[in-house]
Amino acid sequence: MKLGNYVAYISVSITWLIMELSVAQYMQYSGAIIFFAILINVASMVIASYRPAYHTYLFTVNTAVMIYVGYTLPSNLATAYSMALSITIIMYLLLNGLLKPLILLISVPIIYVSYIVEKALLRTPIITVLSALIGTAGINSHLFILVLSWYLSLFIVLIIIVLLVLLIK
Amino acid sequence: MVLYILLSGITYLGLLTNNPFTTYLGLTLFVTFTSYILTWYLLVNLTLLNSQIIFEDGTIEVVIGNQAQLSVRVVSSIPLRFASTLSLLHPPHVITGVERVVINGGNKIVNITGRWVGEVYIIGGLIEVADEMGLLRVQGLLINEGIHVIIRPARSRKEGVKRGLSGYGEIGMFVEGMLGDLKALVEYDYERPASSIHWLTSARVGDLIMVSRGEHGSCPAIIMDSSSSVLIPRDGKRLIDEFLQAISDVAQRCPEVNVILVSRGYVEQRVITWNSIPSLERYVRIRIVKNHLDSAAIDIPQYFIRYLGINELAEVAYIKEELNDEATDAEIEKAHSIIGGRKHVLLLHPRVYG
Repeated sequence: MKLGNYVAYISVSITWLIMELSVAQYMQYSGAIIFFAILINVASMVIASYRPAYHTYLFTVNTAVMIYVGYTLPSNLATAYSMALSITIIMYLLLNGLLKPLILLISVPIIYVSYIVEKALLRTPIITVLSALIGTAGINSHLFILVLSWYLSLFIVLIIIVLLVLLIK
Repeated sequence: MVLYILLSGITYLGLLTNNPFTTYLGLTLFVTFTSYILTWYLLVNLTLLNSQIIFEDGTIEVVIGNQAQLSVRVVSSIPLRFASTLSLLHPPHVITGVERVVINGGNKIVNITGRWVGEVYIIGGLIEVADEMGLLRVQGLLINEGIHVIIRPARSRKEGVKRGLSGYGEIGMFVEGMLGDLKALVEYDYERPASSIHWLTSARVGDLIMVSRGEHGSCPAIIMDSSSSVLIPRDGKRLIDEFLQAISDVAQRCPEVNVILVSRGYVEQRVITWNSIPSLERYVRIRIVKNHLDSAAIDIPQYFIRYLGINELAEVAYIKEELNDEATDAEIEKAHSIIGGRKHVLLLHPRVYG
């Protein structure tokens, strides 16, 4: 699947515009951030219309802006906004042919296996001990354990797959 | 690598600033990309392991300096299509480029340029698949029975070659060489072509008389140095190609040419026709390469070499340095004694040509 770069960029830009308008009412500190984000997004769409070749740079700039917007959002929107932003980024890469839909689809079981391993890791005593230690160091222990368990589970899956590849070779 | 540093950076920023959004975003993208790349790596390896390279032609003939085309495709029993680059495995006698092919994607026409005279095999190809984001590359070695490529010398006599054949260039000698030496005038055999009738004598004696000729006429015997030094290219050109061009010029007027191969401690007589000139180069090269495979250059990554047998390696290997095996006067004298009392002898030796 590979659409024109312009079509891919405009599709993602429109989705981002909807997201920006949706979160505008929840901005904690200043409405100026979301105003500038929308302005940059619209300006990028205009530039992309005249110079489709710049779509990569415009995408990078707007991704950075969207991440900054997400950074200023309240915690209760973090999960939904991060998922929506991740999906749009992946969609853009899919539409541009940088990711193959079939391979992405086949990779879903690997994510699921990683999820199961991550859940199993969370039940191990070492994680509980680490969680308590991190809590005393002033770092958000929930986030830290989340990152650690996902990294570990992916690492385990990676080792299994590399060994599998070496075995079949 | 940059992508992973960026994603890890976003994740750690969230951790350090206690911001769940950046942690979730970094982690989600990290998990998605990693599982995608792992799946891609697994599928590409499976596809390459079940792939084979297929050449559509059996033999390709090309004249030195000219181009020929080869149709090639890469197919796999895993029904996935991956864009890849393919480098054919062959000795430096032919020049081919790095071609873009799609696995399971149909035929690809590859241009082959004849660089040196000889007979070589393209034993397969080195295929490389890279993911579209440039994160990972996987290489595979695809070997098959090989395609036979014959690089022939030019038919026309070249200016430079005349030097080596001085004394054989006159038209009279050329025709004499082609027809053979005049042996006798005999009664006409009605199964022979009418062009062999000697009309002047026939008119004189009142009967059809024809010319009986020897087989090879004034064809010279050739003593050719077959040491490693004639195979080493200098500015991209080898001495053996000049030698083979000289033999080609002789073979165009003589159906069979006696060639005595000489190198240090080695003298061998071979009978060569024009068609078998590329085989002569192969014979000389393979004899040296097989005896000195350790000092030969092989244009294949080291980790793939263990998958190739000695015969496959000898097909793609090439001598990279002189082995001090040039023929001495003793071998040349021995070659002369094999020729016996032949009037015309052509010596093809680095000391004469170099």
